[in-house]
Amino acid sequence: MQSDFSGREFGDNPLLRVQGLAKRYVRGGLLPRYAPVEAVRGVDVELLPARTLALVGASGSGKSTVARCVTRLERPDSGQIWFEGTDIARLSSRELLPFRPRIQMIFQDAATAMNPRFSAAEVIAEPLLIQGCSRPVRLEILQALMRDVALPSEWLNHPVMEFSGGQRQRLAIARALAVRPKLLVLDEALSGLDLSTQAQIANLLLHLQATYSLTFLLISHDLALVAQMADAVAVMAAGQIVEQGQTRQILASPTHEETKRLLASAKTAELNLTSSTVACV
Amino acid sequence: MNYLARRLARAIVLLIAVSALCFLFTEMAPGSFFDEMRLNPQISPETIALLRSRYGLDQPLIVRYGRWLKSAAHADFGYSVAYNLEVGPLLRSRAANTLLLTSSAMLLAWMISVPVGVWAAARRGHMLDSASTVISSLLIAIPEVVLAVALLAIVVRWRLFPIGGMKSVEFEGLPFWSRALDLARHMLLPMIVLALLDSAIIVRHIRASVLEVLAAPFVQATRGFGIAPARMLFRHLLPAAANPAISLFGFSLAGLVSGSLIVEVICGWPGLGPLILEATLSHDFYLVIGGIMISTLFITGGNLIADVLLVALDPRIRSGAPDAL
Repeated sequence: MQSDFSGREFGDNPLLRVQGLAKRYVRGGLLPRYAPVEAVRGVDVELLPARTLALVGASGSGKSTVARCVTRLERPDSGQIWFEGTDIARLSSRELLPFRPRIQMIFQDAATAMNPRFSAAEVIAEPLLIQGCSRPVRLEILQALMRDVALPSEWLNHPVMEFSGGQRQRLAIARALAVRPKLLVLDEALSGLDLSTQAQIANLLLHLQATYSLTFLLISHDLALVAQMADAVAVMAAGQIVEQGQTRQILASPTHEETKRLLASAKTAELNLTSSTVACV
Repeated sequence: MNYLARRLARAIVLLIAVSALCFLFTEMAPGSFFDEMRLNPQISPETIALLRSRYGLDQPLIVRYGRWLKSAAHADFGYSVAYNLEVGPLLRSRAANTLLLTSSAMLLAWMISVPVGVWAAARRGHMLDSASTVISSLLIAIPEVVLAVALLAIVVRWRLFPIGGMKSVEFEGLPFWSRALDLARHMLLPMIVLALLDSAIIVRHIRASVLEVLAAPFVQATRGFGIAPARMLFRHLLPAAANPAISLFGFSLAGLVSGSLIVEVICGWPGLGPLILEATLSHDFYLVIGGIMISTLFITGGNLIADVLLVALDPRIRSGAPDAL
């Protein structure tokens, strides 16, 4: 669904433009017994450089499928993904190589998103090794990245499993930044963290965005976080974008039922949190 | 080091317990080696009593067990009444034949199964993946005996290679390489049967563990950096998928002695299989107990090696992380 949000009001060319994106999954074994699941269909979004677009929606609405298609961890069935003027939707693995470092994803569970056998240094250095960086360059970048994500560089040799959830998410951010990306896809990257850690990571991400002119595609169901971080919001339901626009406008005066429902459930959750805090006190 | 010492101590306790149970069960089993002699009118009861006394079989169970433990400490494992020889040397020569066969089969099975398992997982849902799944399911479902007899019939029908024994009559007069070839040709049938049976299980385990790792977010994250397939395979996939394979490798080691007994009997390979079968039928209990002990030794040793490898190769197990296994 084409909405009133185009992003062109910023007067800039979009870094990412997704047009008519569709992805479906076929279930079943040798004799498929189920109809294919249409995870996303006809998704159109645009993302301007150094801005944040939040993709919100209930579980199963297709947000993560869009994220996986944009990062080309999945090949879309149809549609275009224009990144810096190139349609990457149909590129082969080899053709994608120059684009890989420029689009990075941060996963929800940082604990499982890192090889559990690795040390922090090995985790962050992996993309640099893949890019063919020499050892002295790698060491220099590792130190700088640890500073960027506010972790002591003495911890570089510690196994990743010794880090806390928030620290692992910082490591995941450092790993993504190692290849100097332009677009960071944050797939529920702050879910599962306690509120204080979540706020710290959100502030870190905003700081890094300002420092390195990063562009964020924020996948989230947390509207409070979206209000804090996103310039624009696209609401998804049943694999489609049902409403999109400026964050303030969407949150203040939603027009689609799905957006209203999400806002209502966010308010209920906030009320529940407040009442349970009162009960604890 | 403490871990290794603990595991070794546990293995020794297990070996002693198995030997005690073996003695208890053979004592409870009906019949003895001398029962057939009693039916022979030419052998007097006094002669039988003398023989029982010579082999120490007239002693109480606890005394016999004590003597056997002493003998086992010297790797003799008692005395075979049927062969009139110490069990140790008898077992050693046959175990060498068995180990030659089973270690070759194990090597072949792992060399086939690891690439096939990884490849099937990487091409999940592909026609050839389905084919490997169907073939491995069939091999798991078909009893060992049926597969061995079927392949034996094929080999005999088309006279593909020699059957029975491990060398030809003219073996001793052959030059070294011809002898090696002769031995390999005799070993081919039992080796193929054992390798097929093992690889069916190994392929499925490797495929399942690689599939699990392929779906892991850290692999997805690494794919996002444009990692080369070879680097992905050797740096991430294989080490992460190694734990179940190492446990399975321990089972393969454990089965080196006991896993081939039926195939050896069917294919006529002069290993421990026919020896233990004959010893069981003739109630030559010290030989049976010796066979069981050597088998138990390999089972505990195989598991011990697998556990040590897991500790050595996985830092999460060393640190006692709950999600390590």
